[in-house]
Amino acid sequence: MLGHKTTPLFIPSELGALFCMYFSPSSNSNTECIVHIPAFAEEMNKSRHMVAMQARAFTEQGYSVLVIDLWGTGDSQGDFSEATWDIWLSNVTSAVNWLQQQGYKSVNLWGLRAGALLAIDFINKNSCCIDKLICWQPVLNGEQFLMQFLRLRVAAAMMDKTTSREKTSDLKDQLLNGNSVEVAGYSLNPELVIPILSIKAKQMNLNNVNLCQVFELSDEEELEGNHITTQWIKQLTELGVNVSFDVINGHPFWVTQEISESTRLIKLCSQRIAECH
Amino acid sequence: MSVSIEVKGVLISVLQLKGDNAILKGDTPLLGAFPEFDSMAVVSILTALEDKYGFYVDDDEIDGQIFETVGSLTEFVKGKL
Repeated sequence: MLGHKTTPLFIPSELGALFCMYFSPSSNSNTECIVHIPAFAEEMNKSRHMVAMQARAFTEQGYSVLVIDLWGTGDSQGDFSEATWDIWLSNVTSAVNWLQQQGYKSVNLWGLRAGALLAIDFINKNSCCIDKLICWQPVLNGEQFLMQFLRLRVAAAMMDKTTSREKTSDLKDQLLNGNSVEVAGYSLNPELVIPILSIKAKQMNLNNVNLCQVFELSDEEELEGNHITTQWIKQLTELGVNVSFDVINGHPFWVTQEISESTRLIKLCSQRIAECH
Repeated sequence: MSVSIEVKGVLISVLQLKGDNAILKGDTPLLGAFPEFDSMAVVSILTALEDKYGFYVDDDEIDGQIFETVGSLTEFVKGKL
């Protein structure tokens, strides 16, 4: 087994330093690296353990991994209430640039949930620089994802009978009118939310990536991917994108109440990337 | 598989119930009974059920009564099918 180094560091970005965990194999012969784009809000916190486990597993395949905290999240500079989708897109650029400056020839993106949507949007807008895209339980419809997030506030109101009932559609209107909305302790900036509302993965061009690897977890005995993901994979295949799709039995670690892990996912994801060599 | 068993499966998975806690009966209370049962759990359960059965839960339907017991949640799901 190869050893690896884990280094906490800050990389520069347009609006301030971004905190990253940099996982690298001890041997210096590697030329490939992966940027991890995290999930949204609480899902990011719940999945840190799995992300670190997978990052270490990738180093055993010879990859370096840069796990970034997007601007206004985690230990990066900025305030979440001021974060916008465009800032986050530019954060991905900063991470890719930083890795290229370290001498990596090939940069791959690995996104979890809404982080996968950000990766997809990034690739759609930046046609040149990404080799492989790895998606874990990708959010493929921004509006659907956001309405589910807004529902947290409706659910919180349900549990507290002293607060008035709200509707996600009203919260969405507030955001569309340029007002921020606080959900589960996160103050949502309209400039973060409005772009997300309009993003659908099926409209994004991924023809420039050499390979797209998609993984989903399911609790079911019959392992079926989400309907929207299955449709997307079919569409990508028809468009000539080189794509693989695996559904693995496991708990949804990004939302489970206790921190959970799926070693099956890590094993298979590492195996898939090893097959690329 | 019956709806009742499937709903229990979703609860066990989302709430990460283990041991005695994972023995769910129709009259097992949920809201206020499990410390894990917060607004994030409510949303995760609704989302999991929507993904599983392909129905949509409207905001107006999100009511505390649904989440009183395992049985009330099961009845709600059956009513949506």
